[in-house]
Amino acid sequence: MTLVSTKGTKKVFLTSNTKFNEIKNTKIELIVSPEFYWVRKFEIPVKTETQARHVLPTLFEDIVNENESLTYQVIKLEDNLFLCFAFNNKKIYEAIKKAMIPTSSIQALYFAQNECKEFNSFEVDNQKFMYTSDNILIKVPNNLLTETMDLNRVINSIKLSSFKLQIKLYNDVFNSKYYYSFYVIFGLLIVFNLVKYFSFNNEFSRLEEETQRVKQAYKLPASTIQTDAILKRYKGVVSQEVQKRDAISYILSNKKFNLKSLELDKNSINLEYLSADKNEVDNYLKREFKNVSSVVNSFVLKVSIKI
Amino acid sequence: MSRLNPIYILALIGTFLIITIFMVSGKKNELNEVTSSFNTINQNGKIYNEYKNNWFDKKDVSNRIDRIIKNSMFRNEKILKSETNNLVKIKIESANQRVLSQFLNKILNEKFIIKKLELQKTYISLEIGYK
Repeated sequence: MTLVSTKGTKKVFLTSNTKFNEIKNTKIELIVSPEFYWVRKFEIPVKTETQARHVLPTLFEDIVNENESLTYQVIKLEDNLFLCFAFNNKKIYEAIKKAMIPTSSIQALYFAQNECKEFNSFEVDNQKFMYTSDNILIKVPNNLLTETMDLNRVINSIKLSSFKLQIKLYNDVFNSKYYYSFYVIFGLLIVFNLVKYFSFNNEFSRLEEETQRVKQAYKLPASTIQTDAILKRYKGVVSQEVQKRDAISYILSNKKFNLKSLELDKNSINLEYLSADKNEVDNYLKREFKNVSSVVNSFVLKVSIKI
Repeated sequence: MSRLNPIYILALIGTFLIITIFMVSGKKNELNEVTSSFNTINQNGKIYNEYKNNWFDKKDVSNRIDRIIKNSMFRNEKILKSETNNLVKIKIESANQRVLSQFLNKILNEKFIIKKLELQKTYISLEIGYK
């Protein structure tokens, strides 16, 4: 079957032979051929359609092999009597794609079982269909029916029911159970991350406040650069003072030499020894100091040290 | 009939998840930086405080010098002290070498900035700076 682009809503009977060339701005209501679903009347001792739907996988088990991938729908006919449908979502979706019908133009899908009741038998896309004695629409071999009506001629006059196919118009990569598991896992991870983020944020704010408090408590300069510069100077001065004390302590610790005087000025120390052996004094001092110079001047040994 | 493929919803949630991972990672880096900065400032603050109070506090240095000068050990010795804005000059004269040695020890054991020091057999002269 070929449709040329028109505006408005079109009704299309979907069979395995359906083919479209072009559809523009056309909304389509698809009537799905019995090829794509199983339908049975079952007597089920329950009151509601929802309760009936729960037992359908077991009831269809004897008729269909591929139970796991089926979707079930139910219409209540009488008390305890239900018209039950089972269909493979993927097969219908693939048939739609094969027919080259864009899913965005599909308005709704219907079971042919419920929509073609006014015709006992009909023909679409070289396939023939008829209702059985218990009102079930079935596809029949072409040679079984001789004179049949072409449904496409009257299809747009069909008044569609409110019972639509609950189909998913996309390829299911995973079972929907897995999707829910993924949603839950991802959701929990997002919540966990957000909790962590806000916890880090609080800790961040607390540390910033604490930093300001510490700066005030120690009366630190406003900028880190200033603090670092002052600390560098302080450390340099203190280090020099320690060096001076170490030097004085080393010089005074030797009682063997007769030290007459010691003068410390900035980083240099001038010493005067009385009656001391120049080499001995030099050797002793050079063990501790790198820059030592000495001169003997009338019994007085004058030594200069740079620290 | 459902047209929205759940994989798109999953992709959307996955994108949110990735965004939150980046958010957490960024905040964690910021937190590490501020923690490191806080530790440095805290440590520097302690050092700064210690140096400033012990070595560079004019009032405290002056008090400690006075305590040494007024020590009973040096009561009978001749001690001269003169003070300017930036430094204190002290001279102690004594014939007792032991007294001079004790005075020197006390000075050197304190946290003073010694600008000049002269040791002779009979006296010790020194200049202590405040800066």
